[in-house]
Amino acid sequence: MSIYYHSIEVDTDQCTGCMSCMRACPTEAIRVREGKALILGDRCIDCGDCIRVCPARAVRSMTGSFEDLSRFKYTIAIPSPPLYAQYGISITPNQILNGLKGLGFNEAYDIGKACEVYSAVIREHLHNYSDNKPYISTVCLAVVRLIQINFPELMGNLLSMEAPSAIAGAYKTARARVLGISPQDIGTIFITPCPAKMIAVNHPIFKSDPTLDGAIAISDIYGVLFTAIRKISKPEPLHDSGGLGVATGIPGACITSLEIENAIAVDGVHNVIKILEDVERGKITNVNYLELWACPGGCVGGPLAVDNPYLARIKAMKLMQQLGTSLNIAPAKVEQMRAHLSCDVELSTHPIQPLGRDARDAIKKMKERDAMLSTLPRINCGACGAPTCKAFAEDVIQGQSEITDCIFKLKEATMEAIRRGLDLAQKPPLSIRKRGAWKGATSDM
Amino acid sequence: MQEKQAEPLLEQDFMVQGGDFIHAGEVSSSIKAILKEIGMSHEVIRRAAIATYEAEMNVVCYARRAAFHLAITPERLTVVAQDEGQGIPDIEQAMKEGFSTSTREIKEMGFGAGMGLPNIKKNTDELSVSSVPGEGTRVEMIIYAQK
Repeated sequence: MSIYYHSIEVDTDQCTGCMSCMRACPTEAIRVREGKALILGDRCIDCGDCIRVCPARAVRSMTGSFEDLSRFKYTIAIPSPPLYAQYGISITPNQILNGLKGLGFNEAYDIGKACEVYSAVIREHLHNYSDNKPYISTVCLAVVRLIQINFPELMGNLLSMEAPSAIAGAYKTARARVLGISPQDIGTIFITPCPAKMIAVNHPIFKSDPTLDGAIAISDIYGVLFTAIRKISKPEPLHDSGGLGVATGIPGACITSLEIENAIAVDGVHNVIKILEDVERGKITNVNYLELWACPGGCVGGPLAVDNPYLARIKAMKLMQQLGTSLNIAPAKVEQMRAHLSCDVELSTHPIQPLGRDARDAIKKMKERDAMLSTLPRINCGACGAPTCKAFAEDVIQGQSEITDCIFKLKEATMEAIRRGLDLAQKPPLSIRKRGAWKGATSDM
Repeated sequence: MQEKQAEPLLEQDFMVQGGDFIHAGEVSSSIKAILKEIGMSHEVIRRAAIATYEAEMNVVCYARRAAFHLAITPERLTVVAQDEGQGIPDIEQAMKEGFSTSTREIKEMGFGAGMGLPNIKKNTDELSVSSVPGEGTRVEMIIYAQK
């Protein structure tokens, strides 16, 4: 299997092995080994729930820093729409774009327009096709990952389109031509609330080439950007998109613009898992479109966002109202955008490996695991370093753990050893055994 | 005559309660999880999940309770649902798309569209339905592991 890129890492110097992340992980992708959290790459979906719960701040997004800017001759900041909702309502998207320039980016590009055109592309697709209903949005990369790993049979339901930020690739090419420099010298840096965006930088799913050159967390830029915004003296007009461009990332905000019946938005990874299970068993029959978001509250609830997601949501919705949500986009523009967004690779799945090399072997291992599970306490205490007794039993069957890594099994084994020791201690030596004169150690010693 | 089948590698039993809409779908989920762990193809998993779910819904909507039995051989998986309930007087009719005897209440809940058995048929390789009116229905669903 190809190298499977991840955008979350554990700083083992900081990690205290407290297991908060292991318990929070929705896909059971974390174990604790030698006192440190270990992310299992083949199960992690990059949702960032571990980042949210880590009290030691040891789980980190692999997003970049300002030093990335020096790698390029010319840099373009591309704020994700949730950035517009991170400050007070009096700070406008245009001020934020100007603030980014003030921070040292050569340009700040508003992808709001791209978000609007993206809605138009989806609208057209949903009106023209109905073979793989319900279609599933691909804007949330953690959801795409979840489907690749846990719901591979639903890959066909995914819209085969990259998120609006994919427009950055095309924009870079156009700018290179105007500026007379090589596209390699231009860096497009996404300002993100989400670690999973690093997938688009390092290991794109829908495109053969990355569409972004880097990403910086909103949380890493929040303070300095605020200062930069306050220093703006002569703002340039940089923001020209409508409301949808601001509210993309708020669950359901863009659905009305799709003019399609029975489209639903679901947020929070556990809710998303539930609805995907319903799709899988054929329960969701009348729904045309599913907009799914791993984070509660959508992108404004991202692990790298700063403001309270509910406050940010209100601000984004207010901005959307002010800016209007009309989607009058020329058909030629929609056509052009579709070309930029459309998937140019075969989508791959990364299903969790079966328990054995074939059905027979897998069933044998499953039975061993279930037999072992029935002897475990099944209280999911986590002391063994696995999130559940079932996961632990599987780790043992696969040779990843030893049975005495379970503290209860260790107690049993210790008890057994003590009993054996007592029996031995009570046994007199052969030379005097018959006479019975020697009483030996007794259990009430 | 049906050829003799190999001893199942795995057998498991599940119970479904009539009227229990909250837990409807759990058998389908459990079977899906097992098939994933075994490494069955996505297509087999998808079909099994749909067929079992429809069978579960039939029990929840129309029967008192049912025992589901799963048997897996390397070649096929078989799910037999034996319920206690009103039974089906005319199976041929029940196999037709859109035919339904469901009550208004069940239709209002979004079920009972008369797609249950036809949908099971669509997603299985062999299906046999037998019923004793007033006693219950037995639905045997077979899906081939490889086609």
